[in-house]
Amino acid sequence: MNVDFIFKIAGIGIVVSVLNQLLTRSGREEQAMLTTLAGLIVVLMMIVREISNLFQTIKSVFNL
Amino acid sequence: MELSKIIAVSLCAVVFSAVLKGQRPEFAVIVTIAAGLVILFQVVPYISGVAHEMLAAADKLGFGYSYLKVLFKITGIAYITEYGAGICRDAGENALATKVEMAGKVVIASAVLPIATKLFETVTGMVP
Repeated sequence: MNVDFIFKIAGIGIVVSVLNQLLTRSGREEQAMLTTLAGLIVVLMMIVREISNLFQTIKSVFNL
Repeated sequence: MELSKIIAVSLCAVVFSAVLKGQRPEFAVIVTIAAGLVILFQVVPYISGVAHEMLAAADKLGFGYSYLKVLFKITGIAYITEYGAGICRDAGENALATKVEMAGKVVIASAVLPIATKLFETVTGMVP
């Protein structure tokens, strides 16, 4: 669990934002929305894995 | 990881979150969650060390081991409740944050119940 995790997520967010802008400007609104949704799902899966990891660790530390 | 590195990481995350908030606010929330996770993971080994030391001391003293365990459990519950409620509040969901906090309070109350019962029994036992 190092800092790269934050950078990965922020990087995905920025890429999705840029792609969204590109697609919206060139008139493809539906594809823009689909890109956003896809990015969101990818990032959510990464986060949920780490959240479950965190709660397991906290449970093991504090229940001892 | 030292404190200055943790602070630097959190400042980076704040900047990222601000950048994304204008375009894709949902990603800003997720960046906040991720930064919180990373910092918590860095801090957990230290907490674990301190907790083990205190429990060993209580064991040696022969007094209060089970109470200390419940205390640590409650601290953990309070910590993750605060984490979840803080993220809800940052994302503008004040009502959700209040619900999370209420759930945390209920769980803490249920964890403290056996000790409270024992305390009442002791006190009423002392009254002639």
